[in-house]
Parts: sequence; C-alpha cells; structure tokens
Amino acid sequence: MPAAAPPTPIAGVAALLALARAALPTGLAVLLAFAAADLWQMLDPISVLPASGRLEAAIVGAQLDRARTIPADTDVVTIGDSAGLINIDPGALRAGLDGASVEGLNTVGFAGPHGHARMLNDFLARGGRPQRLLVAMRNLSPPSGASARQVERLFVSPRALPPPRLLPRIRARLQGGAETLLYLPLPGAWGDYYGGVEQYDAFLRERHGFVHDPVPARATPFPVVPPFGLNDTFRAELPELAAAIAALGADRVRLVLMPENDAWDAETTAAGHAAALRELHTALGLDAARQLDGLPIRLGPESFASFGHLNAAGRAQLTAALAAALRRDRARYPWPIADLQG
Amino acid sequence: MSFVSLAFAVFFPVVLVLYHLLGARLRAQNALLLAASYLFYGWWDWRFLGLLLFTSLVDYAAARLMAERPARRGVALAVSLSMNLGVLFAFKYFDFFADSLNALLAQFGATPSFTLLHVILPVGISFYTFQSMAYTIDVYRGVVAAERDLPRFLTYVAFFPQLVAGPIERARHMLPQFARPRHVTLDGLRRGLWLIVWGYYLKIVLGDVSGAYADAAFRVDQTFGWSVILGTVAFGLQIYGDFSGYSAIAKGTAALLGFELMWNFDRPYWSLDVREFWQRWHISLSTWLRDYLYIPLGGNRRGRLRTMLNLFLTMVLGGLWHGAAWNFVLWGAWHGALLGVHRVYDAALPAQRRLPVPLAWALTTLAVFIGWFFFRARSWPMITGMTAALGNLTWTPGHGALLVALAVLIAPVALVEWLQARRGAWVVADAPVPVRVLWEAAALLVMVAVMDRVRAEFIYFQF
Repeated sequence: MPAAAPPTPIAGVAALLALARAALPTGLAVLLAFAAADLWQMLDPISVLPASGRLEAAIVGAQLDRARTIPADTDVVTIGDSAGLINIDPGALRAGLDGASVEGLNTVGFAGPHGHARMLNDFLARGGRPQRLLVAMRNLSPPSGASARQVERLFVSPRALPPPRLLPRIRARLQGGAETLLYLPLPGAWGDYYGGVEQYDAFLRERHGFVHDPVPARATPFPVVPPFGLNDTFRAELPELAAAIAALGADRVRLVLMPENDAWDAETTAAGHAAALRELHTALGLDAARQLDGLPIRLGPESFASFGHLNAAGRAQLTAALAAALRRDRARYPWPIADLQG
Repeated sequence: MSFVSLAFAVFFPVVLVLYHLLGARLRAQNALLLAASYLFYGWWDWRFLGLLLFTSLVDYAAARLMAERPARRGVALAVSLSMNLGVLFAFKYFDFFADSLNALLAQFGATPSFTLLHVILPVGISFYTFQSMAYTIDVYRGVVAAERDLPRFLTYVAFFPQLVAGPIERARHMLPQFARPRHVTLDGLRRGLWLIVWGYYLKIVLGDVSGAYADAAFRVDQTFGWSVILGTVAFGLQIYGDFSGYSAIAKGTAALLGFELMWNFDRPYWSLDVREFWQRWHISLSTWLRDYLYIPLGGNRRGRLRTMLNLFLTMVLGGLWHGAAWNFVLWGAWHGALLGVHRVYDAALPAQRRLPVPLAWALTTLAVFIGWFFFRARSWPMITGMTAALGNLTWTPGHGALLVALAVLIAPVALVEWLQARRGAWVVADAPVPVRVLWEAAALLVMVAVMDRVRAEFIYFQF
C-alpha cells in the first residue's frame, strides 16, 4: 500500500481560501438549520419569557392561564399578592374545610389591585362563582415605579412572542427547545429550590396555585418598615378591584390580611392591621361585620422565610387558623349561596 | 479582550486575514502578531500594557546578560525572579497577606498595621509571569538559548491566543515557531476550526450553563444537601468547560495562524487516580510546578517523607497560584494530601491488587470534586454552612431538573472524549465531512440556544 502523501503546506491567499473551504460545509449546515428553525417558528410560533423578571412573569403567566382553566365551581378562591401565594397550604385548607375545593390566583404585590381585579375578572368571565373569595394580601403596598409597570406589561402578555425579526425568531425556537432540558435557573434560592420556569410552573399548578418560599427560616433581622401603608397608585386602583368584587357579590368575599413579622411592637402592628382593615373594607365595599376572626396578626421570626413570606411552620399555623375562621364563617353564612345569575 | 466578545469576533478575522496576506514575510507577521497581542491585552485595560512590556524587557535583558556574561548568570536570574515574583506579590498577594496578618494581629488584641493596596489584578498576570520566568530559568539552565530578537521575544510572551489564560508555554516549544516561516495545511485548518467550535461549546454550553446552576447552589444560606452535592458537580463541569474551552479556543486560533500550542487538558475526569488527574488537568501548570518547583525542592530524591512534603508544598503553592485566598490554599493542601496518600498506596500495593477500575474512578472523581467544593466556596461561612446542609437530604423539584440538566451536559462531552480515547484527539476533526459537519453544526446550534447565559469572563482570567 503506498504511503499517504504528506499534507501540502500552504500560505498567503491560498491559506485563506483553504480556510474558507474548510469552514464552508459547517457554515452551510448552520444556515440550513437556521432556515429550518425559522420556518418552524413561523408555522408554529413559541413564546419566550423575558430575561428580566422571569419569576414574576412565570407566576403571572401561570395564574392567568389558571384563571381561565380552574373549575368554575371551586369553593374557595384566593386573589392578592405573593404573601397569599406562599402563606397558605391548599391541602391543609381543603382538609380543614371538609374537602372543599381550594384554588389560588394570587400573583405578586406589584400587580396591585388592578392586577388582582384582572385575575378575578378572568375567572368570573368564564362563569366562576366561588362560595368564598379571599382577598389575601399584606397590609403594605409595594412602591410604585418601574417594577410595577413591568408587571403591568406581564399581565398584557407574560409570554410574549418574539419580535418578527429573523434572528429573534430563530433564537426563540432554539432557546425554547433547549430550555426543556437545560433550564435557566430562577433567581437566587428560587432557582436552587425549583429549578427553572417549567419546574416552578408545574409545582404551582400541582399545588392549586400556591407555592413555597424556598428559604426555610429568616437568617437576618427584619428591616424596619412602616407598619401599614398603601401608596397612591394602590389606592387609585382599589375601585377597579371593588367593581370586580361587586360583580361577584361582596357577601362572598373576605379580606385576609397576612400576619406581619415582629419588626414592630405588638401594639403598633395591631394598630396598623386595624387601620388597613378599615380602609380596605371601605374601599372594596366589603361588610366589616363579616370579617374573618381569629387570624394571627403577628408572628415571630421563626415562622418567616423572608420579609413577608411564611415558612412551613408559619404556613401551617396560618392555614389552620384560616380553616377554623372559614368554618365559623360558614356556620354563620352557610354555603352554597344561591346564585342569582345562575 | 475576551474570546467571548463581539470585539474578538471582529478582531480575530481581521488579524487572520492580514496575517495570511503577509505571506512569507516572517518579521512582518511577527510584528503584526505583537501589535495584535498588545491590542488584545490593552482592550481590557491599556494601563497594564506597560507592566507587560516592563516584565518582558527585564526578562529579555536578564537572559541576554546570562548569554553574554555567563559568570553573572546567577545575578541575572535573581533579578528576573525577583522582578516577576515581586510584581506578582504586589498585584496579587500583598493585600491577601496584609489582610491575613491584620486579622491575626487583631486576634491578639494588636492594632492592624498593614495598609491594603487595593490594586486591580492585571488579567492573566499569573500566566505570563510564569511563562516568562520559565524562559529565564531555562536560559540559566542552558535548556534554551537566549533570544536575540527583541520583537520575537515580546511576541512570544504576549502571543494573544494564550496570553491571559495559557497554556503556559515553554520557550523551547514556542520560540522556534516564531523564528521560522509558518505554513498551514488543510488538515491543520480543519483541526483548528474544530478546536475553536469545540472550545466555544465547552465554554458556552458546558461551562456557562453549569455555572448558572453552581451559582444557584453555592450560597451562604444553603440548606439542602442535594444542592451542595449537585451544585459541586455543576461547578466541576463549569470550571472544566470554562478552562478547557479557553485552552481549546487558544489552540485552535493559534493553529489557524500556523502555530502549535500544547494540549492543556487530556480528558481529566477519566482519571483513575489523583496523580493521573494532575497529568491530565491544566497540564502546562502542573508540568511547570513539577519542573520549576517540585524538582528543585528535591522531588522524590530525598526519601519518602521529604517527597510527600515536597508534593504537599508544591500543591499548596499551586493552590495559591490560583488566587490569593485561603480556600485556594485549602484546595491545594487537599490535593497535596491526596497525592501523598496515593504515593503511599502506590508503593504499598502491587498492580494486581489495586482497586477495580470503576471503584478507582469513582473514588478519584469524588476526591477531585470535594476539592472543587473548597475551590468554589469562597468564604469560611459558606464552607461551614454548606457542609452543615449535607445533613438535610430533602429532594426538591429543582434537584430533579438539575440532575437531568447535568446528565444532558455531560453526555455529549463524555461521548467525544470516549471517542478520543479510542481513536485519537482528532477523531471528530478528521471524521468524514458529513460526520464532522453534523457535530460542528449541532454544537453551534446548541450554543445559540443557550446564548442568554453566556458570560464574557473566563474563570481563569482572575488567576
């Protein structure tokens, strides 16, 4: 067998031409694959989550979808901020209410009354008539500003289709395919506990619209913030939520203010809590006489995962109190309520 | 300038075209490479170009002095070593030692008295000073002749493909390549292209994707044991992907210019003992430490105990080379101890009584990844907090997803390396065109798919 000829050394322009020749097949293959990905995306477009605010987008997107898909005859439905999303154990609440169905539609504080109303309206629009609607939230409104506007956009389209330019279209298709296996972790401890958006979404749906804060216990002292405060943006949006509540019937709605941490003394916290109850009942057109009783106003740091989120122990404590309060409430104002529209 | 930047995507093709258009004009090509290398380095921070030039000039002069005044060889070497180690100490280690001494003094109630310099660490300083030092030591030992051509020497020190993160090349391998006309071959170009594609895949897919998982797991307040375990695996993949990816890109870009750089990695995670690991991991550093530190300390020539002490000291200093922090010292000490234990084991048991291959691999991998834990956990609270978390083996939704992701990341790399072990390093580059194109195109498409996690920085830039 003849020996193979040694490779011919090349230099100058010939080297550049040889380089182009070596790179050409792969380059063409990649262009072909891009064209195929683009065609696929045009025929069957997939959406992408924004790079920033992924966690918020995942929550809002999943809950918007659930508002349109959970059973219309669910007994207890919650709306409100992330404290309501995290601080209630749906399984324990269901067990405490003798098997009543429970579904959460809470999102994030930045959504504000406008976002909460949007969630409720979506549910009502498809015939949702819960026996009890719990407006579950903290007695503080988050600062209005850029983040609020960002979440506002998420309500319009949390999983936006990529812009119609060529490269984003191709990237969306490839990125969507990769994320199923190589998930992009959610921020911080959330990414560690849940993984990516898909795992978080699955957990939220499996838990009837509720999740856990991944931090088991608060490690540092709580920052001192005002014990009660609603900002002007929040107040301005309350009539919108009041209108949605009125459409359901205010007699079915209960306000559940989440327990606060012990950054303040008991007296200050209680005063803030009472002030929030008064203002919110009035603004939302709710009957203060129907306020659930026996709910904890203040819990120690051992019950908290983060500033406004309870850990497993706190969640169990609050849920047990909430179930007991709803049982008493049901005894006074029995279910089912005759539905005039039905 | 990072390999993962738009600037490099413009810079390299321009340099490549100009370089080859210069044809056989060797001096002009070297001048172009020198200018390009200084631009490459200055892109990060032009102020440190002066430092690079200064250390290069001192080492050039020291070597010339050794050649022309053999009687003053010792003085010239001392000047070179003092300058290189002095620069390293000032920029990299002064604050670490001063801070540690201040903390020690405070423990005894004394007032901390060392003022910290807070200087920026010049990127790649450990790499180019070690390369330059190796040159003067080799000239002193008579292993290599002192270079007369100053531009050629400056280009050798600053050669941009390997300037900021190695491989730490030896003068006897690289200097002759700057002295003779460089030609490329079609095979060489194809191999260079493959190395570049594979290097970027390792960096962007294996390194950066795993890096996001490691970042999520390495937290002071970590409470889940499985996050510690899987996070450490993720970091082991990140650092391998990041650094071996850099080395592959460096070797590939150099190949397109007609240069041959050494292999810096040789499938290290297939090692069956720790000694073998160090023959496969960051080969240019481990051989540097062997030739310029371990052997001068006495190597294995002064009895078993001294050998083990030499190994330990070499690895501790190797750990410190990676960074001025105690966790790197701990990492080096861990590997020094492992090498010592392996040496005892190796001497005590004949080959036929060694551990079965799967067990040897598992134990070696476990030991190496325990080392990565110390490497990545950059503070004492993180080390203790995450170690304590190992007591809680609660399985969360994220752990299942992470396990799948790690398997998906490992599989293609393991396949390529398995093929390389059986058929040689160029198994993909030399494969029939359809096979090679399929591999390269798939790698490029996955890179585009995970582009949102790309980090321009390489871990080893900071060393």
